[in-house]
Amino acid sequence: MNSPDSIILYHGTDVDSALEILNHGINIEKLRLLQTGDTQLGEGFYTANNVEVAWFFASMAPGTLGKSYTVIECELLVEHLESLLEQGLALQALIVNTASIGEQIWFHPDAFEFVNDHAEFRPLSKESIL
Amino acid sequence: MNKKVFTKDDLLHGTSAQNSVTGDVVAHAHIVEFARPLTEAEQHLFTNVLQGFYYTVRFSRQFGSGLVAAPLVEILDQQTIRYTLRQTSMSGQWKELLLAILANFSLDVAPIHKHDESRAFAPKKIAA
Repeated sequence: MNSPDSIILYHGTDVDSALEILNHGINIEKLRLLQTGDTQLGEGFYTANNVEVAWFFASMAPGTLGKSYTVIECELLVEHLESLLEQGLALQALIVNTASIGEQIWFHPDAFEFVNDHAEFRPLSKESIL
Repeated sequence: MNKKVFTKDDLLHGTSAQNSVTGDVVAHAHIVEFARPLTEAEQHLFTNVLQGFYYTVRFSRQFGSGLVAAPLVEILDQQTIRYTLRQTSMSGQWKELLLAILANFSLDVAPIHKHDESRAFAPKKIAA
């Protein structure tokens, strides 16, 4: 995609979950196995607009036991993201109550099919690491 | 055209954080590299801040209830600290709280250069 009209979001997770997403898309049943406790915005797919924040969450991911972890990219057209935000199928919010460290973008499970159809999932590119 | 099938070789792997399991408890250790050597007082403050994080999570019950012990904080050298959390689940909102606490420590006390593979706490990135 790599379009000026698109946004790249980052998701940190264990390598097996990352490969599952890259090869098969996001799946609510697989996410439920990992999201066993309360989450900030509810059940769903969490991404960040800051790759470094995604690395933080990757190192804390529930599925990392005995595994390495990674960050993957999710590129989505801005108009598609805006549409999901308007419909309440995605939320964009500051991650922490401090000076801006980035935002997280959360996708409701009902948005997964649309995201799988319209977003491009790929491994983190080395250019993304500042 | 066939869609590319990704393998582990296509990924960048993070390996700084270490996990182990004993019974129902997961211990996960993280490396914090500061941008400068910490004074003894700053090292104590960092330890106290992490203990405060533990008590907040443990007794507020607003961030998940999985932490089972106060963090183990080890001073590896003047610029490097390893802390270990023990909990029954790694899921929950405690991560956002920890992120906020580390970000504010980095801004207010001593800049954190890296947390495992993450440079999210470098003050220039926070302030940007």
